[in-house]
Amino acid sequence: MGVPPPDEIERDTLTILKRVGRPGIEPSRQSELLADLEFDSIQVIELVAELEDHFNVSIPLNELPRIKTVGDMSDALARLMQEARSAG
Amino acid sequence: MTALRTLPETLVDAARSGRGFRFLNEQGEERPCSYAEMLELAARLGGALRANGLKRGDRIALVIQDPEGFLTAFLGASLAGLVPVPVCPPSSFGAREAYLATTEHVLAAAKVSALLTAEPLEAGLRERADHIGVSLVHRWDELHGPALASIEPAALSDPAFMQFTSGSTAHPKGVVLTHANLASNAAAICGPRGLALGPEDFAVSWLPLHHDMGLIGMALASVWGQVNTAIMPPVLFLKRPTEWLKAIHRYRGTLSFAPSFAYELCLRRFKPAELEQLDLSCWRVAGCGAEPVRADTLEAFAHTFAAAGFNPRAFMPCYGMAEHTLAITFASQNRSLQVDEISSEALVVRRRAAPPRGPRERALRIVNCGRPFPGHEVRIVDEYGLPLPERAVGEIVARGPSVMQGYFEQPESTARALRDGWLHTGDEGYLSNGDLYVCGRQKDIVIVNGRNFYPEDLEWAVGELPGVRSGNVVAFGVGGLGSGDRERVVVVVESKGKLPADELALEVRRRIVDSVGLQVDEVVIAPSGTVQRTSSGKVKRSQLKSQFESGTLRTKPTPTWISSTSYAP
Repeated sequence: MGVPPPDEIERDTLTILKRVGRPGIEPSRQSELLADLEFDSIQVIELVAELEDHFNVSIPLNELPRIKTVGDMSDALARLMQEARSAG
Repeated sequence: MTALRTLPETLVDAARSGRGFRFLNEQGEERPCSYAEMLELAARLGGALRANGLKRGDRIALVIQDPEGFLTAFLGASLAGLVPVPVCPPSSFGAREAYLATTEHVLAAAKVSALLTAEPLEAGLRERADHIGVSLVHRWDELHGPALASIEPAALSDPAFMQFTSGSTAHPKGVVLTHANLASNAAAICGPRGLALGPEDFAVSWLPLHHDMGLIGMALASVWGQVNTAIMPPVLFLKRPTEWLKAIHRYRGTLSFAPSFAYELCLRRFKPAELEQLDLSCWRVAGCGAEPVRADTLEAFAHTFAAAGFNPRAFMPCYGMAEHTLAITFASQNRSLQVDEISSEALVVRRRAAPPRGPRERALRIVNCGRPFPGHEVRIVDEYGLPLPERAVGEIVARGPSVMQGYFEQPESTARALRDGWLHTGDEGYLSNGDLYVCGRQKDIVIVNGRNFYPEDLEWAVGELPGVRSGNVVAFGVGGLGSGDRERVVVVVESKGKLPADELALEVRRRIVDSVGLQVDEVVIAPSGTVQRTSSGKVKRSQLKSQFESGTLRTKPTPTWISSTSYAP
């Protein structure tokens, strides 16, 4: 199975964000998870778990300090999936 | 009561029991490690520490996420006669630099000689530790040397370890606990008035080991009681909360402790299909502590998980704190949750726990946290330290062999906490038929998801932001105790300049997330003159808090989306 194209990863990430986040948020690629979308530390981990399940990829916690925006998250997912495919 | 034993002696005793740890990794895969094997691993690490020049009584910081690594290092240091100092590893949240700065404060306050850690933290921590002259910084799994030939003899009055869960970032306070403290509290926890441990018991824990409830309540109490225990990394639980329940099911776990939020997280995240695969009828003690016990949450958990065989009588609310080693009171075993419904008006105005006046007054629901242990005492006192009668509300004080020796090299803080042999907890409560009900807090901390936050840290983080009148910031918690909800964190800032209120509020929120790792519930932008101070220059936090609660706080307008009071989780 190949890696999905970046716009598909971003679209699915946004869908999952809306489910995990507080009601009524309208996330975009530029939204910051903590400052704009007001995720708390537990919701961030929940989001990671949901994304891992959806994309079938492992997101090491060491990645998280570098992820600020929704765009960072979907870029990281694309890279991690690419790495997993080439290693596998 | 049997004679008290030091921690190394206890591990040697447990090594003969044939029982031990089951360590789960982040993927949930198990590695069994009997107490005999743990003794061997710890003796090797202890020997390596001595071979690297550490001496009896030296303090050694441990910043290790992995449960097996943490316990090997903790017990290894103990066997070598060193004093382990567990330090919180970074959360996945907030900026790394702020974490390292906080950790440097703790290392300096503890005057540690060494620091053990793991990848990928080593590089960042090494720089900070070098800065304050810590001589040995090493990865725990790469330190080698001859195993200890014998265990360093320790006296019960020697310090066993130091807990750094109290105090703000700028003024961290190390709670010094002796072997006698640890042994007394472990005996209480394991004994008939506690968990009444037997050889058939099996503990299951996801709690972090740098925190007293995970370290003492679950891991060390299991060594003391010589029962099997499965330990999983907190992140496994946080990612997939039902992994905790599945582990209890799989091991036929009988004992497990967690803060209220963990039960809530299970409720929020379980999938109905998982209920059918779980049999939790083995779970005889479901402890609940580390933050106010929320009756509504526990009742909802019991209701939902009854389908998986969960016994509501398993709930055991507890009350404790690091200054008392861990446990102060446990509710009785095998009794359903006892909830006292009291009038909030009588609580505030008359300082009495009285029934609500009528159906129109919304009652606070306070959970019975049980009684002190044999050899330990609890009292409720007024501001002069005089005991109060039953159902009068005052400060909770405790006395007995579990009370700490003091805060490390902080005589003034120690003198405030320990008066005439009584530990002043800073928490408020009342006694009813000898049972303790915790209903308030005098000290300025806010507890969110089992973690303590200090208002000063939040205030300091944003006090010098452009747009904030320098230092005119007040943070506090509202709600929580008895209300059915978790505590909410409010930050009030006085604004200056032309920055719109919504942008300033966003900036405040962002800065606190980065430096403290906390998502503030509400930012209030207030005009100058809002923050009042005492004659000694301290902010009048409780005054502002009551103004906020009564709705009399003047604010500058903020768009509704930034204020989150209307948001129900």
